[in-house]
Amino acid sequence: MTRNNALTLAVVDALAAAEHCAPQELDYSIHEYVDSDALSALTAMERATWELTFQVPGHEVIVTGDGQIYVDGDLVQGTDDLQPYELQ
Amino acid sequence: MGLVVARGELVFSWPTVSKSTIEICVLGNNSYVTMTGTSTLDKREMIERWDTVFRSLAAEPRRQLVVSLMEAPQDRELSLPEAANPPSLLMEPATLYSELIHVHLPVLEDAGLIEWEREPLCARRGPQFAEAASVIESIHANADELPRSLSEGCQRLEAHRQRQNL
Repeated sequence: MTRNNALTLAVVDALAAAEHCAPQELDYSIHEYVDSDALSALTAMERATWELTFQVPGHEVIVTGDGQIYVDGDLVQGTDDLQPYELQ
Repeated sequence: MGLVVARGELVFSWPTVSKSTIEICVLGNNSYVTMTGTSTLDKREMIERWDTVFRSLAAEPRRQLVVSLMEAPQDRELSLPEAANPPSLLMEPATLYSELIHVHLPVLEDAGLIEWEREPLCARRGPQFAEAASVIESIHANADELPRSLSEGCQRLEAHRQRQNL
């Protein structure tokens, strides 16, 4: 398994949806606002309860331990179905 | 040896910031000063560079990009996501594209290992590139010694292993 960046990418998708653009059209790197390694490490904590709030240009993002993503207070999507990338 | 009566630190700020520990010792009627050879700050910086290099290489697409840049001429810009797509993983290009922009390229750039541009997406060697390249090179040179759990299924390492066994 490689580092699980699924949650980071889900946040990118959520922000793109809020901006009404494609994920590759966001004009910044999310890494400038939240350490993706930290997000991966949090995702790997199975039985912990946590919530992380951070700011990106124009939006406040909250990510919770059960995989919920909130942009400006609105629930965007669950990430329960996100699986770590498996090595082939 | 002898009784340390005073211990202090000397900080040199030119040409590079470095710090040495000095000790004034008394032994019999003689007193002398010792100074540690390698300064604490230099050591700390060196250890931080190792940590940064290993953190930077802690993802397959990042390792693949470093290898691709090693194999290309020094000043060549490589197109992405192709240059970062590991043959043993083969990620979906759209996913890899997003992951590169939002995770991998900023990590490598922060470490000084690469420079990159977004339109069109490409990368070239950064000022500290040699740090990552030398680590990968050492691994390749010893591909034969690596445990199977690290080398089996990795096309790069298996190619190096075969070359060593010729």
